[in-house]
Amino acid sequence: MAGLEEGRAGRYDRRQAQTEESKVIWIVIAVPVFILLVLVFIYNGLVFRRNRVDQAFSSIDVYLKLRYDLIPNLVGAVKGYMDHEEAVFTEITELRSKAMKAAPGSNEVIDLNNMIGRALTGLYGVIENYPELKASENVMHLQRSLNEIEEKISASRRAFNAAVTDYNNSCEMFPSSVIANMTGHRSRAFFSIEDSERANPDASLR
Amino acid sequence: MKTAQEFREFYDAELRGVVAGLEALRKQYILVTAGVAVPILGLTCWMAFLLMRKTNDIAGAALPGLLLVTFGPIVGALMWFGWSHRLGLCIEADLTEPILRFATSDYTYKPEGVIEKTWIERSMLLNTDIDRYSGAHFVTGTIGKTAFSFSHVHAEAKNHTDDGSEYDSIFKGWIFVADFNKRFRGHVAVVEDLAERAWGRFARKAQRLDPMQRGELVELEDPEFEWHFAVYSDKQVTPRYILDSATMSRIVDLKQKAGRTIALAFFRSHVLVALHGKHEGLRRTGLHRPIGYERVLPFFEDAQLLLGIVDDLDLNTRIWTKE
Repeated sequence: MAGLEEGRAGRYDRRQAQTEESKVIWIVIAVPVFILLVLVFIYNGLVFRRNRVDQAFSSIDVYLKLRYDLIPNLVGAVKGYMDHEEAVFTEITELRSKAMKAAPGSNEVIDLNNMIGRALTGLYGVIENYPELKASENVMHLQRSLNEIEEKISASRRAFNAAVTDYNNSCEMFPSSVIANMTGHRSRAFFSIEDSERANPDASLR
Repeated sequence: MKTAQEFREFYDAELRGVVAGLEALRKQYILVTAGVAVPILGLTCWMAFLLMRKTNDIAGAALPGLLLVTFGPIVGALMWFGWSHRLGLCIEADLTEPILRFATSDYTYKPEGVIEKTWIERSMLLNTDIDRYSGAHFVTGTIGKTAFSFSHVHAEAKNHTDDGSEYDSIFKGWIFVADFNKRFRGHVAVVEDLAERAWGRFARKAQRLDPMQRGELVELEDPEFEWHFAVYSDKQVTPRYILDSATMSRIVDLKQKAGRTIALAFFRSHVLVALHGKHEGLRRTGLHRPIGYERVLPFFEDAQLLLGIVDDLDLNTRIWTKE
């Protein structure tokens, strides 16, 4: 009888030991798996945000290209009326040509497009001095189209800056900053205007 | 836009006589109701008294007696609500069009018309299934270059419970639709940001999930606008194209001017503005409420607010391809 009870107690102890053992095994497996999942989640988030930044930048390029396509139409429509404004047309045409040749996404293309924007503003100011141009539906339609594209460029730049903010937060804030440093993710620069653009534009062109 | 002072002068000159007639009608309805309900009450009380005397059993006759006595008040209540509804219809019929005509001259008015339900459903202004939809006071017209329309709307959703189905009111107020001054694709929803006001930046995480599934949360740069509103869209560039800094500032001003919950949706190159109901409207009235200037003024204020949205959002500035 005592032997039977000893046997039962022994089996109970073995079962308990096996249960404890399996718990430890589960913990040893589950914790690293959980940590791995968190790391994967953080890494994927960084990749997602970086791709979003690239996508936002490419949308700026789309609108810039639309602007490049419209500029020759506008120059062609007004050139015949404005014989004395050759310098303005030459500047815009040259800037456009350089911007189209520059590497997409480079600082050079950003600077050139900022200069194109300023040159177009100057051209609109000159158009105001020619009543026959203001009465031309074609010119007014082109001007409206360019206004629209300028607004879309501005909107896409804002979207880019928002995407960069989100990405930079992930690269710089703990704990995603640890993963970012390990995997080569670096903060990106915002779209910002030059100091010369912060000054009030000169509306008088003569 | 007409001022409150000008409306007061218009009211004194044109509406006072009409309102006096409606007030006389209200008193007449009260008298008729009392004239029918009170005698019935008296008669039923007397009958209950006779019943109790005849049976010599007060306890046994109490229930039938009580039922008899309640007959009068029930008749009175039915008449009261019936006449109240009829009076509301008369007020609406006699006052709505003159007030609208005073507020603006260039419009078409249909008393029983309503903004099409598809506008609200497809713009994701409410972004929930609408199972019952009704409205009134459909106005359509043009201010400057902007075509607009608005109506009062009541939208309800079916709620399936253990006891059956009932309808929950999801929106009651004015819906204003106007031609926006920019061409765009996709949709943008601008809704009141109650979560951020309650929970601060932690709410942003929940907002990104958007249980209403209006789209992605779009975080804009204007802190005051962001405090009041949350923006959702299926794109990131379109809301920034529509909501430049000037437009965001105007929307905040519109909300403060309206003094109530508002929501906006941008869809198919149109803007929809939802103004949640602040007043009951001309139709909702009771026989106990005198009809006068204070009763009529809120409707004029709502009409002015709606007609002013075109200028408040500067929709007539058309310097882009949409003329």
